Amino acid sequence: MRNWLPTFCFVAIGLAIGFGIGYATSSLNIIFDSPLVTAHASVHSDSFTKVLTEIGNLDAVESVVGRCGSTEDFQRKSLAAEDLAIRKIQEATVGSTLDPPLDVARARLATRWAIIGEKRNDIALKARSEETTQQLLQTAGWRDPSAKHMREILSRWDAEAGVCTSAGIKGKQSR
Amino acid sequence: MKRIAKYGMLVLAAMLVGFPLGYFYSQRTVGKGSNILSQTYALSEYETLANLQYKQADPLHASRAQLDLLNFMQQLQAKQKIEIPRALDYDRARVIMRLALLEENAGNKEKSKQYILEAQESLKDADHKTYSEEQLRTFVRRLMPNLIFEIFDCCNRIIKGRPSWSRL
Repeated sequence: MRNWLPTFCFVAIGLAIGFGIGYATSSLNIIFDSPLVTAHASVHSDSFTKVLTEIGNLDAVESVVGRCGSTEDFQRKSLAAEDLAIRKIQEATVGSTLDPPLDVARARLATRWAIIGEKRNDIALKARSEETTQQLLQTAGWRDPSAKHMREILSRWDAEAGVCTSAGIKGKQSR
Repeated sequence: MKRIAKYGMLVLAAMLVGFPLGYFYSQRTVGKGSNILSQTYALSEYETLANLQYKQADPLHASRAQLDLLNFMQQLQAKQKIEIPRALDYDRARVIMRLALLEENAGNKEKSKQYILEAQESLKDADHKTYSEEQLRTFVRRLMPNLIFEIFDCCNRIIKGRPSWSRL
């Protein structure tokens, strides 16, 4: 019995180490494929998987854009990532039967740029972004395609989610 | 020396056995969680955009967005293992009911009835109950027909720190 004890211990140690390495390897693979971490779907994925990954990525980025306390640099990077995700979705939908309303996503993005323009007192950026929003919402068939309307929707949305845009902050202050 | 080599080989052999066990266990646990996350994120964004169209766009664009969302849900179900099938069935029923209302408003009563039947089927898949047409209309108006949906919606908001699209 005593002769078996060290053998048993070494087998148990080996199993535990092997299990841990296997678990970590697989977990890291999964985590790096997650929409929270991965930038884009694999080039070998089919068009549906690409749309699924990119649209998940878009949602992940959108959920952090405009968070209170985030720096302008972070917001600009997030919006650039959002823009890239939208373009990737557009590319992925070419080979699929899907046609998500990307004009609305682009209009939302343009509205967020307008908010940044307003914060920086960049009137040109604000005006250009609001014009883009209006054009996109007209294409999307909105009954009220004004940038103001989209801004109201975003402010309400951000306020409920606990994130803040300049409009959201103003809204809270006025309350 | 011989003993060290023997135990070294033992540890190595056990590691080779342990590696696939850990790998597949992670696929079943972390992998499942990741699938839930990616499906939730993708569906949430698709629904956000499609439902903005439903509420803000003209009937043609609204209907197109709902049909596209339905197509996405069907492809998702066909191509991937759905981790929260009941939530997807509720969501699909809601999308179909919205299509029914759009068709009804356009004066296409027959098509609207057909969609209502489809929505009833989808909800039957979710909780094995048959809902009346009136209940389905309330379902679309109120959006959260029962506790399960509320729990899912609540979890979604907690995980992601964002509101339900239904509040848009």
